[in-house]
Amino acid sequence: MNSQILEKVEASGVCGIKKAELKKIFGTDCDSSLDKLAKEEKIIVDNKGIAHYVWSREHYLSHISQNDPKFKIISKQVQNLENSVNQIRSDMTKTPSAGPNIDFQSSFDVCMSEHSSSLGWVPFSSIRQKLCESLGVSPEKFYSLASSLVESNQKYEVSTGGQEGIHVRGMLHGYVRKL
Amino acid sequence: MTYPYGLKSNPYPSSPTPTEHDAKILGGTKHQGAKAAIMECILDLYKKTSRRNSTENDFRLITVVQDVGSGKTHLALHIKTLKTRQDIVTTYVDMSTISPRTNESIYNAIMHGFSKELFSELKGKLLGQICEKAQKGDALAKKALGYGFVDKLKGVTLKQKADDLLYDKTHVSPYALHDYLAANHNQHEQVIIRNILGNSFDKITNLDEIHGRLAAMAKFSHNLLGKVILFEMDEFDAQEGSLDFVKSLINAHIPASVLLLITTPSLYLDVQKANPSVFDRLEKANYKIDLAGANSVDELIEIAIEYIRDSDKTERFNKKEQHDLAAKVRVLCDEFPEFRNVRSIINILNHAVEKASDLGAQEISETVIDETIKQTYPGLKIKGSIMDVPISDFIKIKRESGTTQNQVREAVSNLVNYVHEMGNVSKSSKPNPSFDVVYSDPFGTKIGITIVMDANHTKNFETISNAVKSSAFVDKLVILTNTSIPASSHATIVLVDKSKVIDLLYFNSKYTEHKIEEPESEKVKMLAKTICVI
Repeated sequence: MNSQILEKVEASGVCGIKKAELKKIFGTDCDSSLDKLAKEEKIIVDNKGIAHYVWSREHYLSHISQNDPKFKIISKQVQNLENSVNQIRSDMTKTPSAGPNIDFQSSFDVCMSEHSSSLGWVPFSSIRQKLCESLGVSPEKFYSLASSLVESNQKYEVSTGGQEGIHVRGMLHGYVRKL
Repeated sequence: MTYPYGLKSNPYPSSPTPTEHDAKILGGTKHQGAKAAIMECILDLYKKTSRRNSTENDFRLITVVQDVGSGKTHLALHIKTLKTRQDIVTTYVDMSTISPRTNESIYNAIMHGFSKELFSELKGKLLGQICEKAQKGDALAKKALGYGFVDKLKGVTLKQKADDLLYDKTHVSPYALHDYLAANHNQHEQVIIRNILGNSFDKITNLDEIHGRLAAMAKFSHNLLGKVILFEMDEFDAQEGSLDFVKSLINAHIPASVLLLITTPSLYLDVQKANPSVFDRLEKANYKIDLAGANSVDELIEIAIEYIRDSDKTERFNKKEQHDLAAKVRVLCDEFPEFRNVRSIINILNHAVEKASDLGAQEISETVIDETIKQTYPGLKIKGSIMDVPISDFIKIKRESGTTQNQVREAVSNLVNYVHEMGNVSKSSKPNPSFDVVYSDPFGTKIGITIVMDANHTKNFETISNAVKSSAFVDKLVILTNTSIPASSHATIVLVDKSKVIDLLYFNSKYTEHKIEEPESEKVKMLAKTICVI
């Protein structure tokens, strides 16, 4: 009976269905089924005017967004917030914003000073190993960030060779140092 | 054929690696600094050994470590070709040309690296020495010169005999020389003297012979010519043959000599892994020449200018023209990492000078650079440019763009004018002081654009915050900015990066000159879309 009641409630859409009507269809015994479905949050029972109405969860949300001004305002604000979070998240995956870039640069510099040889050259692979672990970034992401850092900042110098690194003038540059 | 700046020939070399001839010019503060350091080391050694016999303490080691194409070989060859300093003799060895890398092959390369003039000079001095002894009555010296009873009867002098040998009119008899050499020199010196006088070199069979003969060369150069020897070894790598040879040479402490090792950071670190013992010796080098910043834009500009300045006999290449060329090189290097390297920038300038000559240009103009790049680097494009901005226009825009905010404002206004003319939007005839541009899209949505492009990002945050407050006056507010800020529900934020600015300024110059043609119309629409105008 529960599934039949749920089907009927869902079919009633945003308008919902009167509780009395459900009793007419399924008999007065349907009270316990309605209670159970309400506890499982599959249906919502609320007043509309003076009558008790029953909605499915999704339809109830649409109903109050259209009819309750307070809910309407809060819902819009939540939606904006959600959009902003999504935008920031997509910005972070596409082009890193200033924040994470600064973090990357400082971690990169610290790591470079730790691994530096007497001439200052450090294999990119050593920095990559450490930063991918500590910052939780993929090797591809690391090299994308490292590449833009080195390209935009003339304080870094890269040198050819090594097994991995960044490509400049079509050549693999596996070593870096800070001037 | 005429060249730009009134030059008689192309001052930039065209070979992929420098030759001794190319290396006569050395520009750039870093490279000049490196040269000064090497010369200081040589001069210091020269001073210490000039008034006494050299000892094993009179040995110096210099390392030059920098990336490919940064001018290391150029520096080494430049020092080799220095004519002004008379106190060094240099042998230059390119290790990459030696195969197999054995002690014998490296030794032969070293001996061939000395100039012919050095051997002629030594030959003259050595014969002079023998002649002097012979004149003092040394019978072995007379015999060495082949001076006999018949010569005496004929009236031939010892000096004439020595000169005949010097100019190869007669040849030294090895048997006659043997006794004289045995009485005056050690075995290695004997071999070297025989080789110099006989114009040929004996093979070596062991390491002891190598060190002995090189020491003999150093001794004769020092004692007879007053010069210290500079062994330049380029392309030094971690191959076993190279490492063994260099280790033995460092350990041998050849008196009155300097060993200059040239390598790349990558190979230097390979040496560390392959042979820590050699690496440790290199780490303790007397001078570690660091060409840090050898590929920096300032250094590249100085080098580029130095070549022309050196060839400019008419002094036409004045300060203004130097400044102009510097600005063009800077734009090239800033935009294209491909050119951020001594070898690459010299190469492109060599082609540019030829192109300027073909076009009859009096200077390396933007058009010349554009044509040169099209020819030599046909695939090179401005990164992220939608408008396919030619490199010549790009250089002009970059050099001339000063107050970018106002220029972008004008460009966006004209872009809206253009899409209005194309029928994509309807521009409002009444300006609204709250926005830079106001127009309506085909559905009647009123759109306002505000441009916030100040170099001060803190100021931009404030301006954007104020602009957002005006969003109620329009249906949609678009903010074009160079400051990275999060998306807003009140406005569409468009980040205008370097390539978009160049595209906008290029469009604006074409628009104001009424030069936008049909094929470019689509690109302009695309540009308008990327900054949310349509």
